[in-house]
Amino acid sequence: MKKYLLILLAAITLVACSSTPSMKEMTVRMGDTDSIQITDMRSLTRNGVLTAQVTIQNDSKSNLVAYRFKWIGKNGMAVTDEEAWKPVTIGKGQSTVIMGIAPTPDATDFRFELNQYK
Amino acid sequence: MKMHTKTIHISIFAMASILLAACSGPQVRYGDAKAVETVNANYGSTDLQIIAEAMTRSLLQSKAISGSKDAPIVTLADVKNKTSEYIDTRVITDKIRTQLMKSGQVRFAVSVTEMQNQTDELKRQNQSGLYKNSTIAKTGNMQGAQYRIEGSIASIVKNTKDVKDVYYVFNLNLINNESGLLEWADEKEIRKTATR
Repeated sequence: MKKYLLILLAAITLVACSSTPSMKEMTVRMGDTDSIQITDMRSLTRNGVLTAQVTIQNDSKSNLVAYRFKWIGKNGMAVTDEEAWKPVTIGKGQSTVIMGIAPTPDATDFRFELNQYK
Repeated sequence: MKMHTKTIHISIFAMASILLAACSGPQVRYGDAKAVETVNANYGSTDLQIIAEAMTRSLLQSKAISGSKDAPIVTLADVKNKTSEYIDTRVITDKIRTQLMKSGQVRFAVSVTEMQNQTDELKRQNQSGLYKNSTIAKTGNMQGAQYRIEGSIASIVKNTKDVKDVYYVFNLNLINNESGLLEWADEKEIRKTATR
């Protein structure tokens, strides 16, 4: 009986863990942004507001890349309008840390959007 | 003769086509208001959006705002334009105010520039004798702001024959009106380079 309970507990834990999206799933790419690698992604609630930190690295010479965060609240609803695209300048081989702060305390999750600009 | 008439017809048709094309005017299409704007190195919409967003988010996370029990009352003061360009700084502060209002964490009292309209409306209601007493907005009930937001934008511009480099720094402060203490301050830097 104890054995079955342990198996059930392990299964529940596994299901709970698998629901956390990966960095790839949390990133939305538009245009040609393949040269930009996302090396780290983390978040915490600071003074009641969700704060995200994303580390990106550029593997190519071209660096005309812009980013923005999409802040998500209850039921997967976006908490505000879309943010403006912010250009980021990173040289070849360089990595940079991008910080994002949610616009309202209602945000519980985020997505990181990358886009190429001309 | 027949050949000559044909040439005239073709010429008229070509002329008409050119005239039609000239009269049709420019092609208009809607763009993405949030897209990165790189028409030239001057202050532009992307700069306005980046500055307003960075300042709002930082301010929302400050202890003065997030640590307050009730949404504190804030007012807008001046943002000085110290650059050589014409920049409507009121648009920046208005954008910051709108975003802060949307967050629900801050309340705003009318600013100095909006005060005239406020007093005019109170006078109209209280002194015209046209309104029912029970519905009149009473004088002496306006709420004073606990904090004011003020700041500045400055730039350094360098030009050569082929390169124009612009550096903007935007500073914003949250000042406690009673104590005169700076409760929060932040800055946003932007560098843009235009090459031929």
